[in-house]
Amino acid sequence: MAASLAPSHSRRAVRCAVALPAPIARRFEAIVFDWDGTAVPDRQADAAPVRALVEEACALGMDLAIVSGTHVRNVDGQLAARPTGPGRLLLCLNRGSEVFAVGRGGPRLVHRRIATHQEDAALTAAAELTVQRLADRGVGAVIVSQRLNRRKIDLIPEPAWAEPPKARIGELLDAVERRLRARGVRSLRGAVEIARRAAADVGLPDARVTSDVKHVEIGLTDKSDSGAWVVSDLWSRGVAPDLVLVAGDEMGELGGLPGSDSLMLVTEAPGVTALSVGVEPRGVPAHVIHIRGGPAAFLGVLEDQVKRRKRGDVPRVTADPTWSLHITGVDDRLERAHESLLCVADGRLGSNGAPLVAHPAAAPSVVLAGAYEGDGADIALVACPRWNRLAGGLSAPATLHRTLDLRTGLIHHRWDASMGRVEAVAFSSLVRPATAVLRVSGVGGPRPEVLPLSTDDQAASSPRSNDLRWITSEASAGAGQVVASAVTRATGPVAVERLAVYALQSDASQAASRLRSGRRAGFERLLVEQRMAWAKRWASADIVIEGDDALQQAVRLGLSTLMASAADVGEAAVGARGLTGEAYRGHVFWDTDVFVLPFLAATHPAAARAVLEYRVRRLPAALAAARARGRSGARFPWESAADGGDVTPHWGSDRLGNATRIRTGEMEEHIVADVAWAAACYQGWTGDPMFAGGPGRVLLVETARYWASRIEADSNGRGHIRQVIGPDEYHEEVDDNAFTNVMARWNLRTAADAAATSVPAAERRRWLGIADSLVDGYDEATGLYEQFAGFQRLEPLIIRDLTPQRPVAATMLLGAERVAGAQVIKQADVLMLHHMVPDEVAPGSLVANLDFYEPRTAHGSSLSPGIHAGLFARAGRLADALAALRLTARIDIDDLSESSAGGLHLGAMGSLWQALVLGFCGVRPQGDALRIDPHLPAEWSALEVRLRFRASNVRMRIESSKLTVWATPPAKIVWDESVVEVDAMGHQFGMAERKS
Amino acid sequence: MSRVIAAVDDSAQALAVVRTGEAVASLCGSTLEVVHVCAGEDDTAPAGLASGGHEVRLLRGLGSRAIAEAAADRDVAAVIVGTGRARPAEAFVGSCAQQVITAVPVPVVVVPAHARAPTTIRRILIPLDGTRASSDALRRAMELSAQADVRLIALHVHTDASLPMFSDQPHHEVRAWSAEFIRRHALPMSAESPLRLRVGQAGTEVLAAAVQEGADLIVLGWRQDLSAGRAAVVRSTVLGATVPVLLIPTQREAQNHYPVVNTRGRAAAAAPYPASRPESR
Repeated sequence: MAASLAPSHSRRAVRCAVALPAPIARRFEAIVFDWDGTAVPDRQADAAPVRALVEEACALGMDLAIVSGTHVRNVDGQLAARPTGPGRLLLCLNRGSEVFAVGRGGPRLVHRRIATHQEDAALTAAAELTVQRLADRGVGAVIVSQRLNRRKIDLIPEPAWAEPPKARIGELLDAVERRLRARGVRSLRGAVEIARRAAADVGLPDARVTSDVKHVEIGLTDKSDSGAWVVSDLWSRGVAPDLVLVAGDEMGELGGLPGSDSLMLVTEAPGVTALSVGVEPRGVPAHVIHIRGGPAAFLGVLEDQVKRRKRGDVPRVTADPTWSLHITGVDDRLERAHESLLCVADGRLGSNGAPLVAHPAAAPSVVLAGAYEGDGADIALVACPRWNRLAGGLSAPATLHRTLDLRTGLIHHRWDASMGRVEAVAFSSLVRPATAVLRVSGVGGPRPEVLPLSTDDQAASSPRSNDLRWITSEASAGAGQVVASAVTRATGPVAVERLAVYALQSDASQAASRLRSGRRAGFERLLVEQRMAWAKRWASADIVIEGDDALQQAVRLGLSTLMASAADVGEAAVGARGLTGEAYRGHVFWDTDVFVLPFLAATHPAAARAVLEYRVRRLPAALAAARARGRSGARFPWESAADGGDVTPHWGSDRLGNATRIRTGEMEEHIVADVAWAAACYQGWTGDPMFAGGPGRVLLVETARYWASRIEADSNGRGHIRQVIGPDEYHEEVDDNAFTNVMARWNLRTAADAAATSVPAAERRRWLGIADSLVDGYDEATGLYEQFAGFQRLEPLIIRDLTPQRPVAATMLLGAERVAGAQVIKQADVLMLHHMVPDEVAPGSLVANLDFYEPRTAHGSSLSPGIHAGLFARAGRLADALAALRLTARIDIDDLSESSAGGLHLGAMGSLWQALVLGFCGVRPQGDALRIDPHLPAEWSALEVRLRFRASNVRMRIESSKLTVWATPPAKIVWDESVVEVDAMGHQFGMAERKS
Repeated sequence: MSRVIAAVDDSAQALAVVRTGEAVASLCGSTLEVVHVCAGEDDTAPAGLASGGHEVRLLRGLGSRAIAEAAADRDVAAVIVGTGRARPAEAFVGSCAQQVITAVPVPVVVVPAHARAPTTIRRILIPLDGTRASSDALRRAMELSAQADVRLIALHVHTDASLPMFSDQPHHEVRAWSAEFIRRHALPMSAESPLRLRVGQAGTEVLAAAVQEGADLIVLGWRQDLSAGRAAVVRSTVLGATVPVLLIPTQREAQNHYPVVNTRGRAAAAAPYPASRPESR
């Protein structure tokens, strides 16, 4: 298929009609292009048509980068474009040594490679030596100018070739090579080789030696540096390489040398589309698209891009399998699980990836964080009106393609409808949370019809005038009621856009202004914002696993889901399934405090703070709950929702249909210490003084007060916590659960330390005394903690040996009664202590407890394998660690629980991050330093992690022989018991040199 | 109005077959017709044939073929038969009953030898194994009982090998899992409907569930295939049930359509955890 472009109005004089080949007859998100010969015929040409198109393209959200060997006065003087965004114009000049961002006020330097005096002198020496060596062979060459970071040598200093036009490059090449051959230099390539050797001889082994045929240039940078810089910059704006067009006029080989513009095709950018509009006398490589016509043809391409945006073409998303999740067709069996995986969310609003048109297997879902309806245990997330529904259906399910771009939070849909192909892109705005954006376009058919906001199919037939009006969820009136509104407008002849906002009714006015401002911004600006916001999140959160693409994809799916699940202002009520589904009713468990929060604290502290704010605002309810039980302090509920009251049901049915009493709300009290631990975890990563001196301290103090009133002393003065349920929920109503007791002890000690100025000394001394008195079940002889009083007397059943299939819901396999009487554990319990509070357990006790408890663990909770992966890694058992890690990574992507339809397992995703960062990387905050103790499986060539520690952006790369750490601004690293300050230049540590 | 045909012989089971026929006819809103197949030239019903007071229509011909021909009429909703005498060791019903259940295209209720005949059918147990046959059976049972005041009890039996890996918070998990099971298998019931779950061998658990739930009827979908290794649950249920068993014939299961997912990983997921997780999971 080829798109035919006709020249238009005033540009007719310079544009030629071009039939674009299929690979470039599509929307690109950025174009990187050469200047002289590609965008303009020469440096004297009128660039007004280019200027107009560049400004228009940037206004429509397109990023453009001009790459040239010349300096800014030349290019900017000729182009004189002053784009105002949202797309960006970069000038990558001086052959890779400078980058300018151009805005309303003109070019602004954003990057310059500054040569040292030695490098500068060496460049001059290299040029002189080259001229000398050419002269030795009888070739007269002259150094014509000294440019920034390079020296230029004219190989044909003859008047006839003083200013050769690009169109005569073939003739120029013949003339230069004739001249060289006549004096014994075999080719242009030979001259370049002479220059390269000269550079090496004067101490520049990595000099960039290039040729534009007339000249040989010796430099510190070349166009590949421009290419790499631009690709990195685009990446930081969320534009993946496969959405980029790179255009030049010298992509093909010349004189035995790669075309100068081919240097822009850097290895860092696999998947870019390469285009040449040049003469290319020796042809172009197979991967380069060649259309003749020079600058006129290039302007045709640029104009086509502008036209596509104006008519509402749908942007593509990356096809890189490590950055995307693609699902073809509709599987009636797995569709709901796929919809959860394809969820788009922004921390407030979550919309699953159901087809945009009706399908019987679909279960569309839109939820708003914190919007609950119902009472008591029945309280559940409100089912919000849908914003992303179109009229019609699929002509065949197999034609549906859905791709979730994990890097940008965009979902792309493509399908065949009865009236033709339809494409759509949708996202939930990370910049403007609870704002949803949709663009949909018919391809070869009529404009698709976007249906009004509605909660059910019947309302779908209501008139379109529903748009622009508020509609209210069907939830009973009250704080949980959701209001939503949308604007829908046609874009071009076949496209339509929808902008929808959601809010709790109490925030309706704020939502109205969000709708107005989103409407003013328009689709393209919202899209640019979205990409940039997500890219920024990834810049401090990405994990790269080299050597396992399947794991890489699953890890990124997990991280992107975690990122999208928590707002970063106000409070974030993060339920067990986040915003990906309605299962677990949006109830908030310890999953959020213990499994999700560490990731947020270490990558996006504002979101972690919002998660804590959810607990802070429910402190009054927790205080009241403690009071109601005759206790002091704060007792947080096992299941929490709107107001902080306990919403754990008291009765339910198990999988066998048996009515069962649910005792977790009554007894799983470790949640109290878990909330305190989350506050300390945030504090450890961020050092946030406002939190530490304010709400953080209050959380620690009130939870400590609860424990101080909850712990009973026996006649020997030993402290006990009786009748609890630990993380191992197979055993209920146990006494002195080691996890609960040690976490309570940690809570008391940490609060006593943190509250030195706010809590009377006598009370703090009492806390410390109680903490010291608490039994913890530790047996020095064996190095084991007894999980709870009497655990060792239970039937010594080892589930690992009993069944070949772990994980398994052991209560179903063996029956709840037998499991309760046996040493069969649901998930890490004692071992959670080694994971969460390693300084609070006996030094060196990890391995003994891992050896004892892991074989007894059924891993019947999705929270279990990830924690064990991290512990195995810390213990150096990398094969087991890797197996547990891979299992954790596949829980949702392969729907291992057969319940991903109700939403993704956020806690398991958090445990995946913890396994990689705390386990494999061995990272842990230690005061104002970050301890690193990595373990790299042989299957991986490298593991790279980005995170934020205190005020620093930290990047670490672990390879088999070394660890490299970069930090901006500098950060302290604890390596092998020594503290090292690391900065942006990076610091290497030898893996083999570790003593400890 | 449709008909339910109760096929009786001169055995002691005849009355139970008729009473079951009455209950099924009531369930379906049908009339009951009691039939007897006369062998040879005889054109009278055997003396003492238990017909429960119903007039007996005599059919001529080979037993199973005559019943099948009678059942071919469009207004026949179901056929009721007794198990008869199972002679070969591997048989679970007599030869006539076996030919009827494998040949008749309408639902057949088999009355096991020791079954109690229900006076009314109030509780129906429907085991669902996730196959299309079981889904179709449920759908058909709902159609048959549409007018009746009846409670359908859906059952799924996990074998040890199909136990779920995770059950994080059972009270939430059961709800989510059951709702998805109902949707995943396109079951014609509300996603909020209770789904009974048991663990063990399907045949054994179906019988136990029927007793525990006080079922008056067990409904099984099947493909009328009694070749070796097939229909194990049908065989064990008919052999062991103490209530009638409604067998609903369905078409062969269509090929499942799985979409293409670009995850690279189903193979990776099969990697053993730690050391011993079977690949079949």
